[in-house]
Amino acid sequence: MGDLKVIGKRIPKKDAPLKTTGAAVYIQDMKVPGMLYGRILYSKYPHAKIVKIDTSKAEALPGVKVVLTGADVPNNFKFGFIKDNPPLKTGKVLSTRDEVAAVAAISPEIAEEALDLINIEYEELPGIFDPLEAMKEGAAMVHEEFKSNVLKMPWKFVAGDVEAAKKASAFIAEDTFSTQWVTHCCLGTSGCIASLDINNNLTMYSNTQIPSLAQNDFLEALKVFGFKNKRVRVIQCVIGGGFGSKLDTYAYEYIAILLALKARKPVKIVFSREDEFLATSPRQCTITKISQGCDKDGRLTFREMEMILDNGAYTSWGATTPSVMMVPISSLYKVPNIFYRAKCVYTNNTYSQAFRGYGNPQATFAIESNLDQLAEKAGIDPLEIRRINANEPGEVTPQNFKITSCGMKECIDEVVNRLDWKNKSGKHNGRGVGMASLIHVGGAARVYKSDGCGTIIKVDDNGKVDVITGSSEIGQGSETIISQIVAEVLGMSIDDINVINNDTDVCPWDVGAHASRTTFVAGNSALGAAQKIKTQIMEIAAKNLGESPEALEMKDGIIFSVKDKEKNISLGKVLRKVHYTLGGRMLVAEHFYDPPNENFDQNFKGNLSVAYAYGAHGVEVEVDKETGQVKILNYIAAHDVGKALNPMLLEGQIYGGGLMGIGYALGEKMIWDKGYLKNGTFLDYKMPTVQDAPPVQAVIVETDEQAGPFGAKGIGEPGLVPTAPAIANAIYDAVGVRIKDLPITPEKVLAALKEKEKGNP
Amino acid sequence: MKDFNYSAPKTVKEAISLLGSLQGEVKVLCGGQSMLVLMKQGMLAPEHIVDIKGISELDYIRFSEEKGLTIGALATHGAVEKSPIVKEKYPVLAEMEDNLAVVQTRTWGTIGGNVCHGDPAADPPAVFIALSSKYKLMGKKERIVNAEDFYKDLLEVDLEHGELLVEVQVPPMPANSGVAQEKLMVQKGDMGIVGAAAFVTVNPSTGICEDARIVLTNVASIPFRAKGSEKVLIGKKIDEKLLEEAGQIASEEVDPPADTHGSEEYRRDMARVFLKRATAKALQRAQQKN
Amino acid sequence: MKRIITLNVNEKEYEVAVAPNRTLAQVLREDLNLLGTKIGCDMGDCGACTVILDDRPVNSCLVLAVQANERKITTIEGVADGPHLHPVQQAFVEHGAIQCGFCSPGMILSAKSLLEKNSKPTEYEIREALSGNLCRCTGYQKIVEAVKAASQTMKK
Repeated sequence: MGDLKVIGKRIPKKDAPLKTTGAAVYIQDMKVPGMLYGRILYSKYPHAKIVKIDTSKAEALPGVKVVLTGADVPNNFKFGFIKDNPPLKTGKVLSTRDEVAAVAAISPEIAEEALDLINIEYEELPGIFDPLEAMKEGAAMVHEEFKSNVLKMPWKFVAGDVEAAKKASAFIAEDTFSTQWVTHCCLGTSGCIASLDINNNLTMYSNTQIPSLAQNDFLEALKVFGFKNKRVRVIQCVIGGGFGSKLDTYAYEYIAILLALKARKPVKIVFSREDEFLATSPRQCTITKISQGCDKDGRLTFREMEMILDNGAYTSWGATTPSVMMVPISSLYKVPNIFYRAKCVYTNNTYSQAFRGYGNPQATFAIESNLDQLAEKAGIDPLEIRRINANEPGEVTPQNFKITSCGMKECIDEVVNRLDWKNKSGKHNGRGVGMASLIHVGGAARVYKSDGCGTIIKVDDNGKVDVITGSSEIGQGSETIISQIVAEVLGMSIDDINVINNDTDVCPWDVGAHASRTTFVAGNSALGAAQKIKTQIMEIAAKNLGESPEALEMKDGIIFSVKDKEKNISLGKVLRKVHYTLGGRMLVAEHFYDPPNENFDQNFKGNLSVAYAYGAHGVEVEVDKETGQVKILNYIAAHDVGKALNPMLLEGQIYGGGLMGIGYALGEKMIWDKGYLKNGTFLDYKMPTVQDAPPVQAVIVETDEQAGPFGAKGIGEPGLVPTAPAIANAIYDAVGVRIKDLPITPEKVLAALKEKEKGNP
Repeated sequence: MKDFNYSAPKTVKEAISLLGSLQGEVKVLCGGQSMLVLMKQGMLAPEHIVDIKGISELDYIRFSEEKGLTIGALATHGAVEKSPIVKEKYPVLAEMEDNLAVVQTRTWGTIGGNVCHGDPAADPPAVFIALSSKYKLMGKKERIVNAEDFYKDLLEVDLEHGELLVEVQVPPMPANSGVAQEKLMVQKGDMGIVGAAAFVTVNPSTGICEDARIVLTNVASIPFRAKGSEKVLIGKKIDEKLLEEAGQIASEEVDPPADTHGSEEYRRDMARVFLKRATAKALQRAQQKN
Repeated sequence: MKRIITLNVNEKEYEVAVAPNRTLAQVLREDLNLLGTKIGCDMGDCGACTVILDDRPVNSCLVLAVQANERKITTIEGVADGPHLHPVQQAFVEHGAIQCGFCSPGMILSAKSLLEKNSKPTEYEIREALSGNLCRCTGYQKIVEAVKAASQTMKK
């Protein structure tokens, strides 16, 4: 790869100075002239008939401009993955986050007051809150028209012959694991401003992670509302956290459009923290039955998993997380025989969506906890069973994943050495160590027909470069990584690179900031565009210098002859040469990178990602046997990242993901009690604080992924994937109790310790 | 937050005359770190707010060997935490403040506001009760009440119309005493699933526990005085077995709530554990002094 | 009823007419257009709205604007010295302590307030000082590193 100048360096985020001075403009800070403020009224009950809505008092309140109910939604418009969700509900409400009315007023306070004046008569209906109940014969239907509470999605993957493998296995471990609802907790809440011009073309100020797809969703909505052939422009403000929460369009966005259409004024809706907890879509809870087997030497023989997912009342991308759960289920370690089936079940709970890891954390919790159980049965060190079965480069997994670079063993070794595993494991003295590994897509994931991203590069008269990318900056640093890639190719400083990434009127298409794909896909796209523009620059410079392009190099904005550095021309001058001449031209390059990965076939086989990310986490804990409290003493997070393009930003992803995983493991849980959210505040939902953050060592393992930009793989999600099972395994090592239901609260640990004392396993 | 009539008296006298004259629901605002939250949630919508934050005469922490510690109602948590005299004479109060909420709350929130809020999960009332403290109230006349008697029910305290809590009085610590506070936190600075404040005196020659005052938080509608446990300890030499017995009694006597942070059963059990832990630490401190 | 108050914000005096139920955070953002103060929860739980009030950090969502009358306030807009970042800001930039940035203004003000009183904080003291500021992106590690680094540069 030669001598890298910018790639691999700890370069600060380009937007950091803006953000440290308070100058970054989030949706909360945006205003457009004439703007009204929208607020949404949510259902009082988790399941009820709407008998009557009286909005007259709200309409009469001075300052209120529009009041909408479900009756005002044109043409039965519904949104969502299977279009089962109307933005304002009519007839029936199916969860306490169901939108029943909305108001636009001249101030947020008046809008809020107006909500209190809307009178709704409900007839409460019994609800279903447990997916197991919802699956029982004779259970009431959440959506009567679907005739079943189980979604018609064929989540099933089979490889080899599990039954035969069971018979041939020397050891089998079987158990049931469950996980909880958790939410993203973006510090900046959701919001948008919908603004329509006189011809009903829409400009949406948004913090979406999927500008191109959202543009399409809004266009569809306008069509259903009766406005065909319109234009939609999505402008992203600075985004106050994503983590998957903004990977779909939500009711509030359609409500803002409807309010704006009726008011003929722009309408802003920004969630309060209470709204954010209630009305954004969390990671769903799951119940997993798992069994795994191995031969007498510890080689895995089969893995069998059945999962039930609480889908909630409507269908968003949460229902498709089994597609990513399949990644570890089919391909974490070498397992020849696999059976997996998942059912997503409608209930009257909140509905689930994408959240960092996209199902992988739930699946990995079951796999890696159960693997320790199997290791114990087989009398093998948990570390050895992982080494024996670790994935390797060149492998083709049962789902037809073609493993290219793979640093799984190196990651395991890093964990083992840094934790002092040999001396610390197996003591059962209140302190213990545990580990878990991960596989995740590391070279994008072909979810849609295209997995691509476009980049346009143009050079201005002064030799500065504009990179116009489809990818979104959601805090992860994509703007900086893209700048580094372009700067490296062009031999420039990243300060001379300007990234434009927030306006669908300007930016090329991109599928969105998901699947840890931005560095890989947008990076490759930028790399391609940079190489193309470099070729153009060199050709023009060569002509001017009387040299061949191959004889030239470019550095710090100067193109020079390698043999004779005196023979040079500045980039700005190259540009002026082509602009200020008869028959001039522009210096622009475009590149669309769509990775050569595959959609799943109908049997869920296919090389979903061009490359796969690996990692292993190890943890040392101390358990207070009187209270059940777990303290993390040491945490190692080793990740195969291909190549660290910017170690500082990369560590930020690992630390951030790791702590999110620790929260998932030890404390976070949305408590939905019979359809009502009981802990929708930061006071009661225990997101980790700086004092909960244990010392984490981020270990970067580089494997140089050939398909990645400068060798890089994705790292956005992996940080939280193996955290919970690593901690659960460490607790088992410390005190001999296995917590199979997340989060691992002190109360659960203590109850398990007491059961153990009584002699119950 | 609903609008209200606002006044900001500058002296105690002014405040009391104002409080006596206002009709309708009146609330006294100090730091407002709990009250403004309730108002934002719509659980509280007073007609009048009397903001006493500007009454500088109530912002003090004083100590004398005869009277002990007096803390003005407007002393902030941060001031108590950082006070050298508190650290020296009543370290338990500084320790308590270190685990009380976060810096921003301690900066603006006041001792007076906290003890008047009447939250059974709050630490200061329990610690003040364990320390046999008194509260000075000013209204038409001055009243001194035992901190213990001040708490009537959940968020209900013995403040009459027109009255203002002006001072917390903590008596001097007996030579042979020790105090400690321990709580079970999910996150440092949170209210604590259960907490315990313990005060014990130990006869230096016999090693016998002569007095014990133990108060538990978040296990009843008011700060819970663990009298049954105290009775077991007083007059005996405290050892592990006796502590366990005292803890056991507490776990049976308390009437804890069940909420998203802990079940009733867990809280009972933790009442036992934290009573033991706080008492053991208090005992150790008493013995060290001896 | 609105009343006229005087706020000394970032060493500049502002006279504003405010209703008593307006919080300091609201008045800073809406009346003074100082939008760098973020509101993350409006309940005093997240610290995004932290400002320095009379040399101490407070959650400006839990202080009434009328209570800040005639007091001295520093918001994030008043931290840099013209075009020169404050050492805490500079350290946040250089140490990767910023991702989405929504918590950063409050976090920086909490850190600044700490370092002004305690130029050599221990890691425990740093974590204590930042415990009221939630961040979902960074895992806090680089924030703590940045504050340590800032304490070094500020000493010089």
